[in-house]
Amino acid sequence: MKNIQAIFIMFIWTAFSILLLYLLEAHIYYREVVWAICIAAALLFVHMVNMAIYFNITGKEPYKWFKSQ
Amino acid sequence: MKTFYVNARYLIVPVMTIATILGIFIGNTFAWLGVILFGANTIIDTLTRGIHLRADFDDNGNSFGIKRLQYAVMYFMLPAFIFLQVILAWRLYQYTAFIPFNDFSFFGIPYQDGITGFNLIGSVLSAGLWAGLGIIYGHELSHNRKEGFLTSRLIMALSGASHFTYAHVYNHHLDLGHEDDPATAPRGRNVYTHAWLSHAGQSQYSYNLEKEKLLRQRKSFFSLSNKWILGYLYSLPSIFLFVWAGGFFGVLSLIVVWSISNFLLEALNFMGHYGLIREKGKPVEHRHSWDNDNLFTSWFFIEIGRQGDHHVRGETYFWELDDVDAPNYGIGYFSLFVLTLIPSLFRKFTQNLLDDWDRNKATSAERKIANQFSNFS
Repeated sequence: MKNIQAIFIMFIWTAFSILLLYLLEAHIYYREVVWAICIAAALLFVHMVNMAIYFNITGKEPYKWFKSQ
Repeated sequence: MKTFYVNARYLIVPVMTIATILGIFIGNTFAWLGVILFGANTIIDTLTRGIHLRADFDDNGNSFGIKRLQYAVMYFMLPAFIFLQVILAWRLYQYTAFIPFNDFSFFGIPYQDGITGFNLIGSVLSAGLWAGLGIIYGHELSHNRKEGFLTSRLIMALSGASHFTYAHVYNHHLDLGHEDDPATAPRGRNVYTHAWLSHAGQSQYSYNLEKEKLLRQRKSFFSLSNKWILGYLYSLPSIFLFVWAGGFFGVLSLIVVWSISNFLLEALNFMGHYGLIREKGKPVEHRHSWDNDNLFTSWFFIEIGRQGDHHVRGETYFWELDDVDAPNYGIGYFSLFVLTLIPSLFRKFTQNLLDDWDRNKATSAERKIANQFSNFS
């Protein structure tokens, strides 16, 4: 259950971030070096936040071998 | 002659990685060379499944392995994998900039300028597969200190998995065969679920490790002393390269390359310990890992398949690892990987092996945990 909850929030966060990059017209200016660095940093940040969301919501639950524990 | 034979046999991956880079550079259908080599390796591995060799030592018990040469090769793999990404980025640039098709030559090597969408897919798959297979060097160097450890972090960062280096040494090697180790797959789990859980679990280990460390040091989590953050920052140049070279297609390609390479890494973890159990607090022994040590797997994967010995003697050079009568699948990694892709087939294949492990290798406490799996299923 926590897995689904985490994946849903990760999806919302990723979609919001991509929309923001689109509204900033990142898809047009990606060949400008400063833009490319900023886009890369933003994408890395999105990924790291996604991982942190997953850890904080699921905790150790997905790793329990027996779910009744 | 023996020294040459023992050292040269571990050069399959470097040679094939260079061939894959050349294939992407030459372009046209050669862009698929990495995929074709992967397929050919699966056939060779299956054909040589019955050949198992021991480690080679001279009469005085000294290894024939040349440490400097083997380490030079492992360090060389970092620039090789960087070049693999650069050459793929160059092809992405050509595709997104609509470079017209022309035949050229570079130092006598003919290549085609411009690339079709189909051959670009071949380039991406080739790069992903060989970045994944190359992770064996990131693994081997993770067991070293200082520059070896850093090189491991940098190699893994090319696949967005720099956290692996810490988690592998301080989590996987210590907690093996127990639910505290996310890289150990319990019975019944399939390779697809395991790939995500193991990847995320190892990152989580590094995240928690740094969180607790920085709290003790009264430092902010958001600092460059945070090795979890630093590890991801090592991946920034790769992301920049693909964003700049291909925009949306570049990001999509990087996601595919990272997904394939991480999937291959986690598939190795999956095959290495699937279903084996260790009681918490008890020492790691040979029986807690699966060996895959047929001839081609041993040479190709620089003896990573000798997991039984590796997990008991983690600091041992790979060319000195030997058969220690650990549980053995009897087939190589390439053949077994194909089976893991079909979970029902893999479970059927491993059932007898696990039954045998339960009967003949497990302690009574381990057998009790194994029975809990049977009760659950």
